[in-house]
Amino acid sequence: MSLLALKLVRDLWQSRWQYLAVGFTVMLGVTLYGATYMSYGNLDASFRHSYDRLRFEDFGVSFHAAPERVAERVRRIPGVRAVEGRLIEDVVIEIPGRSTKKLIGRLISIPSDRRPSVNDLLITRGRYLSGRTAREVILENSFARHHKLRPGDAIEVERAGARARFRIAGMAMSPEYLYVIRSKQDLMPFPDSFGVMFVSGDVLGPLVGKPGLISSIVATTSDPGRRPAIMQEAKRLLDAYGAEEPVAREDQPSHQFLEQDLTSFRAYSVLFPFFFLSVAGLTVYTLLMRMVRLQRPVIGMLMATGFSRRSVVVHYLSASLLVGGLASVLGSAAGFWLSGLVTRFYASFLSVPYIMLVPRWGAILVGVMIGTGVCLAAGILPARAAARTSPAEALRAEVPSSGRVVLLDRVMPGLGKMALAWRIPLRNVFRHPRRTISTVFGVAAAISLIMVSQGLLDSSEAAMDSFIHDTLHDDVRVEFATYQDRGVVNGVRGIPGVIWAEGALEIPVEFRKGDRTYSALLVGLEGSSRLHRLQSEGGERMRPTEAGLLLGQVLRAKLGVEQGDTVLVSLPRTRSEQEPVQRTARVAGFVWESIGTVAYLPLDRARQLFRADLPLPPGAITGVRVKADLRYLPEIRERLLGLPGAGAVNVLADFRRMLDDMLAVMRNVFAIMLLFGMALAFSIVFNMITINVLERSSEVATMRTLGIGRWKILGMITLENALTAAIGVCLGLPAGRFLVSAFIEAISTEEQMELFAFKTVVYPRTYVIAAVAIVIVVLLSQIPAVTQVNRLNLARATKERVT
Amino acid sequence: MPPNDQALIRLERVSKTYRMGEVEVHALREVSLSVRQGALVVILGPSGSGKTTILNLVGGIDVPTSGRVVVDGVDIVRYGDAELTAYRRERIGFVFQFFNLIPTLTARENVELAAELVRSPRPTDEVLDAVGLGERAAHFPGELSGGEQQRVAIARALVKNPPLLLCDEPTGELDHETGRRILQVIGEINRGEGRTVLLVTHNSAIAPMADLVVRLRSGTVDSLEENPAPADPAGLRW
Repeated sequence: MSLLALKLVRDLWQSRWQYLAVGFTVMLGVTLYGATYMSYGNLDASFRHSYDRLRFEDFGVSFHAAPERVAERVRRIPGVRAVEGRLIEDVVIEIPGRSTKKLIGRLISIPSDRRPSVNDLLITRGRYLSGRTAREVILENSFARHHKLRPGDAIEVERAGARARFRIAGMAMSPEYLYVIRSKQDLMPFPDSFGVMFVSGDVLGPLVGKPGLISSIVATTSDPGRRPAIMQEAKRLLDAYGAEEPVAREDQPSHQFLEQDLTSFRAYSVLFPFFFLSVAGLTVYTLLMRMVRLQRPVIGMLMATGFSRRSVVVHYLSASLLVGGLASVLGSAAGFWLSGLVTRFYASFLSVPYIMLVPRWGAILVGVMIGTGVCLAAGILPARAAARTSPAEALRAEVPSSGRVVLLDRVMPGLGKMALAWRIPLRNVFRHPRRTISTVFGVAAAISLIMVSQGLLDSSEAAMDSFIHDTLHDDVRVEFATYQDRGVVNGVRGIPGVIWAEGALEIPVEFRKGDRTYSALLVGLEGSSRLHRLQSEGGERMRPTEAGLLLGQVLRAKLGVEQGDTVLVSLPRTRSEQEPVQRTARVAGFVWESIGTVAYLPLDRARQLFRADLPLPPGAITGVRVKADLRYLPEIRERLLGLPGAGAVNVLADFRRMLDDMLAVMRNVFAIMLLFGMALAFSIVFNMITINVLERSSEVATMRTLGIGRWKILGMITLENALTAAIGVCLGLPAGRFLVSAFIEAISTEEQMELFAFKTVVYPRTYVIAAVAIVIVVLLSQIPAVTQVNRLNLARATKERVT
Repeated sequence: MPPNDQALIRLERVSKTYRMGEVEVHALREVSLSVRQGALVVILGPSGSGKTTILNLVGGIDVPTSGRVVVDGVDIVRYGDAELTAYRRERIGFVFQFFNLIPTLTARENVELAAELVRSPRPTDEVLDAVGLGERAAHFPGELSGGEQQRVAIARALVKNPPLLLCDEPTGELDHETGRRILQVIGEINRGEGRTVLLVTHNSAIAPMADLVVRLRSGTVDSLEENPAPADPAGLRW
């Protein structure tokens, strides 16, 4: 080993805590990049792999009813690989023994003698169907888990007043219901009110009065390029049976949601690491720069002895390279490990059937290159700058500039009369602008790191709270399986414990403006609704108006409409052989709701819109919302379940829980970022403060030699650090707030807004916590460095410049 | 002494101005000086008189604002970076007032660091023995006294076998006895090995050991004094 290399190793060891902290900072950045990027890759691959293994449909067509043999005709279309015909029926189901568990069940027929050739099931518990006529069902996995149902349990299906009991054969994941929603308009899975189950076609047909019939086909194709033509051909074949527009895989609700979620995840996986790595890079740059500057006399000596500039630069770069390289490799390894955890967590939340954890060498290589590159860039400038100065100058002590002292003294005329313990720290803040600026930057960056993640958590919590507490004012609501008359509302108002009740009408529709279309829910509310408060984006109260539609922010963005525009509203289940049922409606204004893609009309206007096309009774409603005395909630639930046509009863508290579950992934991402941000923030501050103190070794030694006590010196150092930290905090808090807004702006893609829209909210506690945490870290970070300085050999420290 | 064609070192009307903070310092003003091969030159003067600047210019670690610095017939001011580095490596041995040892290397390693730079260095142990540090070679600078550290610095300068030894206040940080021993080492190097030595000091008591004494004042040569019979450093007192 050459002596320079030996020096390098020993230098690294001597300043091991600082280099460790620098390395840790880089490692955190690279870990975060690796974890999020590889998780995204893993999830993407897991979905694709699951779709392949379970032969997920390339397209599907729904129709009213057709003989089973039509599936065979579709299969004969050139380019079709496999076709499965199914009968699909939504029915009311009950879980025996649990009187409150009454909900909408979607029964989907599957072959009992073989596995489906399209949309196969992955049995997670129990077994597949055992025979053609056996009254068995396979429950969709998340639904079964939510209701704690197991193979062997029973479930009852209610159909036209008759009940049929099924035994649960097993539980399964289905590629078309990885995310279980009833339709595109329902953006959230509600296992309390909706579940999917698979049953033999030979049992389902007779049960629902459609023996030998199917109402949907799903197919896979062998040639993606021909798929549109195949879909149209299939539609043509099925037109006679009332075929709807074929739905390509990309538009399949579950797939579409997961794609949107993945797209949002990808935004996080780029934005967060980019931000963290940028901060880490800038910090490492300032740190290494100062560390190399401390070595100026050594650089001068090396060059005076005959070392070339190049070898000096290479020597100092080696430290950066070694630290950066090692930290990046470790960071990538940690990122890979963490990506496994994140992938598993996410996959379990979304019930991904097959998890693919593959080391993504490209991402790992990029992570190593970024981390190392950041350190190299951070090391090269100060090393080159130091090597460029003439050796004589490098050997000379740096001269403190005095002008700034004069300036400060002018601004603070009383400064000269202050005690030295105040005067020195105050002047130091101005006398060492490089040190002050880098500390201020470090503290501001650290505060921003904490605030970005915590601010996003605050914003998502505020959005949720606003929706639950400000928008929704009901405690429990009943949804009907069929349209009911509004007279039922008066009955509900009479239930003991009910404070107020209102009817609502919800119709899944498609909005169109020009060539833009979007499926959403049209909600009819009572004009003076007390239980659903609409708000504008600015937070002003809005009411459903006769003037026209109030559109949510997602619809506004998706359709690109402004107030006063006219949009087409159509029923999506339009039979293709008919003229589409569509009405025009004026956009009267816009509302802001964190969750849902909804349009509002007064109840009567909503009814009038499609009265001619839908079998709507004059006072039709699809649900009743209830404000209740919570002490009576169980009884009220029972009574609501007993209402005619009652499909599901949802309690707001359960709704909140479901929202929490739905947002768990996003919030967990933010929480992980917060942990990373805090770790990064602390390591940055620790580094800055350590260097601040070490830079002053000889100054401190001189003061001690003069007889100034250790505590007094510590007080002065603390005061100076606290002053600079205070400036950093003052800049960091607004910068953090700004960054939260910028992040929300950046991640508020249309995909994200469809799931969950939020505005920037930073709670006061976040400012306080961030500021206090950083100030505490500033103070604690002084301890190791001050201890080291206190151990200095005073005689040597005051004399030697190379220590 | 006026410039002389036979001299090893010639400074011709050398001026040096540099900025120190917000102050412009005229370190040298048109200084001319010649040093013959094998001479021991003591440069005397108060603080700020330009002593160290002359050493830095001759050592190739600084460049003059104007004038020529000719060493062995070549104006080193015209050297490029690579030539200057080679010049410092092959021809110059520096001894600094503050030793400038690398604290993370032992005494031997500090010397070997310089030895690695040249093709035919002197054996490290021999040089360390020569400065009386054979026994302390495995110690780190922090474990050595000031005199010992300065001797390591001299050994580091000598190990490259340079024809020119430049010493900047080599006794400035040392007590009288240690300082005298260091001067003895330097004297032996000069007389025994025939190396040219430029020694900067503010201590005029050292002057008697010199072949040539240069007195500086405010960046100019105040006087030049040749000494036909230099004294033995062992007999110096201050």
